[in-house]
Amino acid sequence: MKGERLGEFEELALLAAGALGDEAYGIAIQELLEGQTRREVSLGAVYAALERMERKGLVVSALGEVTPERGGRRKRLFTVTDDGLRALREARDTRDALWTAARRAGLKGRA
Amino acid sequence: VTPAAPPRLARLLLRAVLRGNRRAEIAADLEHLFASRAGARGLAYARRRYWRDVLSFSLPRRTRAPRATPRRGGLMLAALIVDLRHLLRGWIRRPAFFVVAASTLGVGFAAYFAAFTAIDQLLLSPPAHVQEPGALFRVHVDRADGDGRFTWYQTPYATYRQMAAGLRSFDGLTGYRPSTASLGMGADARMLRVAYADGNYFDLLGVRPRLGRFFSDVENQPPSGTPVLVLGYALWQSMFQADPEVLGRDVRLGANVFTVIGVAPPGFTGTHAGYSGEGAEATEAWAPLFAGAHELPEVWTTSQTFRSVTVLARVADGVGTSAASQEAAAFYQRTVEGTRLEDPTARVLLSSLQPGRRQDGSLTAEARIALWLGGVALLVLAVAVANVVNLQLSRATERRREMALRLALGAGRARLMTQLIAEAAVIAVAGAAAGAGLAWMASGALQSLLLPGQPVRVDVGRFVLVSSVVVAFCVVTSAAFAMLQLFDEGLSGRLKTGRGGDGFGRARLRQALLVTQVAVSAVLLVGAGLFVRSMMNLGGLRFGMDIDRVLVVQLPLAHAGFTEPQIEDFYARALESLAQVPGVEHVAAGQSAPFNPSLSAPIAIPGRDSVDVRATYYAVTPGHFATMGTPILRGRGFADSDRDGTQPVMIVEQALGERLWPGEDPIGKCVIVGAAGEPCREVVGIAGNTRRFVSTATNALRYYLPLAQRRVPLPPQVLFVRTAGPPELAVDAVRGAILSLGDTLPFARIRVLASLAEPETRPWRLGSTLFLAFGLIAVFVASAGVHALLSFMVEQRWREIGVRLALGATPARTVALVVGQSGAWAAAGVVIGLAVAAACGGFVQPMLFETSPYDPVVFAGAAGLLLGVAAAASARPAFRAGSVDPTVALRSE
Repeated sequence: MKGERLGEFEELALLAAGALGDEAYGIAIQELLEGQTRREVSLGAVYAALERMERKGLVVSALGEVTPERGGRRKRLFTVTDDGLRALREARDTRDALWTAARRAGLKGRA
Repeated sequence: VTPAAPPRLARLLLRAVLRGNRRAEIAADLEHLFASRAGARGLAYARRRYWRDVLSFSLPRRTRAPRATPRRGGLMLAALIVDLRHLLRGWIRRPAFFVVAASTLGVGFAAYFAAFTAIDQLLLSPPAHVQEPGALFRVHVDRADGDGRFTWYQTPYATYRQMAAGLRSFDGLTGYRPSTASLGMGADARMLRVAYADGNYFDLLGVRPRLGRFFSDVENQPPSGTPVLVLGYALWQSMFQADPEVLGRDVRLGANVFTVIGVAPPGFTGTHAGYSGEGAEATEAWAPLFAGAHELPEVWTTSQTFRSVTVLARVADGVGTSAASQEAAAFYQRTVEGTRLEDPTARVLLSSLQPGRRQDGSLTAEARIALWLGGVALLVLAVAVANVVNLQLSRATERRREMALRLALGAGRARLMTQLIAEAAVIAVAGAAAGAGLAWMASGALQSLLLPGQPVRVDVGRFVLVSSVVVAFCVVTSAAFAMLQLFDEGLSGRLKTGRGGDGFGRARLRQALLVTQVAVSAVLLVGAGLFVRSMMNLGGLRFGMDIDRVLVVQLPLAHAGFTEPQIEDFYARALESLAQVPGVEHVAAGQSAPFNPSLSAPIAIPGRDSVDVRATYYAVTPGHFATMGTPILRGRGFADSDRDGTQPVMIVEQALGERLWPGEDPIGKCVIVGAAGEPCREVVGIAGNTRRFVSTATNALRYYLPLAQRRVPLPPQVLFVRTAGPPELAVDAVRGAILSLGDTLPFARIRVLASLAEPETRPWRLGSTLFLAFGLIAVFVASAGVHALLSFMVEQRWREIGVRLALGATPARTVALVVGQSGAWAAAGVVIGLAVAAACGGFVQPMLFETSPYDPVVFAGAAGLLLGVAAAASARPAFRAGSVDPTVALRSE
């Protein structure tokens, strides 16, 4: 199999980057993840995951526009690549297949 | 305007871990997050999250993509960093290993450092501020004395002057005389330890004043010098609030007024530490030798036998110590030639100024105890190192598969070794850091125990040197043992073995170490127990007096300018006045106090050629026996009618009576005390035996004379006050009664009689306190070792225990297996330890008080305690073993 499987956190970060589109820079991804997972997410973890995925070719990054609230400093924007999209789809397909199987088996929770 | 900035330390950390663009970028992100979080959820929250974010960039991550190969030179270093990260991650996941290893090592270090600093100050360091202390010596004359020899600690002033003028091997001699004086008068009076020193004293030592100047020969002229005073730094701080205007102030010392001319530098407390008796504690002030002449008889400057001066000498450059002492001996022999002091065997001893050495160069009790402690502390440290080694070995076993795998994948052995050494180094350094603070506190406490009254001093350079050596030792030993274990069985086989390939029976080295730890603890506990028994025996000593019910009152009246009739009058009035104080039952006066030097005179019995009995006597007032609680067994006590001009009488203690007149009644017998021709004294009573010294060696036979019929024209020196309740509560009332007797009285020293025995019981008290402390530390460290090793073994044998359970073993049996294992180690250690302790008995014997070094209670107690501790340490691992679920355990591989 080409590349590696996505870790759970990588998957979430990659999805968040996709969800943010043109605004996918570090803090925004971190804040979105924190809002959605309702867990504290550290910025370092976000960067670590994104940089790891950048080396695997799942995202690319580029320095964006100067914005006033950052004191004139430029921010790094992350964009999901085709490989990234493929990895996300694979992850989703795996989950879907497992869900189908589980439902067919009559998955119910227990108290 | 920013109301608050992110934590500074966290910002610095971030700067340290990130580089270049990334740093600026992330720093800006975090500032932004901080501001928005602070606005939304408060400053504390923002700070906490900021820290977390910074740490998330600083701590190593779990997985990392392989890096590009570093430069060749950096290869080892890069590998080491990776290894250390690996290590740190392991420790974070299982902190118990690191915490146990570092903390036991820390405790071991602390014990060792504390003992070392005590040894350092007692035996290695000279007094502070003394220039070239190696050439400076105490001068003692050692002479024939009857059948034996005697070393005189003090020298007659005349002899000292002759030596100072005539000796060629020395750059100079100086002399001083320690004394106590009452500082101030009446209610404000306090006792001051003052040294009266020759004019060249400070010059010869090379000490420079902190403030003002020191005195010189100009102020030290006969007959009575100039009353000037140099304050010790501590006295200046406490009594004069470090007032720089103190120079020129007048201070009353006894009957005389002294002018303050200078302040000594901090830490300089004179040169008398190591001497026994008064003056051994820190000197608080200095005055010219002749300014203290009023305390001495007139002949003190001319007499060849009145020894008043402690002499110090600085050996000249290029002259050996033995050559210098030979010249001094020859010179001394010439000065006494032809007199009745002539002694061709006289020697001059030059002894060092170290506070841990006595005048004759032998070790003081404190120094001996410090050296013992040094040895003991080394043992405790060894136990701690053994602990670390053991824990590392356990981990190494656990990691064998990992190591074997890495070897198989091409990792060099050198790399694995580096990793082990790095691990040992990190633990040792962390332990040393943890121990250093503890050590600093402990050495302060230890020094105040061993050198009371002396300022705590630690030589930082030596401290650092010794700690580096110790740390290096720990690193090398623990790494060496770990590697030994790792490589001795051939690693390739390890690949095949899963977790738990190592049974209880295999890990010989680890078990040997553990048994050694228990054995060392047993030795220390036995030592502690023997000292505690000595203390108990001391506490149970029967003194024949109620030493806990009597206050001893001493006033240096003669030094305060009182004439003999005035002193007599004072004591008469004091006895009357004290008897009126509420709670006082009896009062008495005497010439000397128990536990202090006593008087002795030869005794003769008419009709016998000679009496081969040495006895000491006490001259006391009639109230003495009731005050002390010493019974009169037969006959009568003294009465007011026993005075000058009536029939001289005496009272003997029972033991002396039996010795002088075996099988006869001593009452009515006649004894001549002193020179032949003195009147015969009639024995009127027999008193119960008393013990007036703690050690049996210094206890002699005793008799009593009425103070009113005393032999030596020495006025009373001491008052005894018996109280109805605890004497401590009566101190203020007694002081009040004394102060009401006059406005010009010097400081009255009021102590419970029992406390006078303390200098004698000090070695035992020190020994029991310190051995107990060190013994408990060793037990703590060893029990941590037992616990840790058992835990690892249970962990390792998870599967085996599961198999046993699946095959029908009960949880109770598994628990018994673990507890039994711990018990077996402890028992082996105890047996070895007790054997070693028994073998050392002969060495320990002289340090004990009426206690056998083989005391069965102590041995049994130590064994019981250790077995109990071992059982307790095995509780948690045993519980874990008992709760193994076989189905889980068997699936775990």
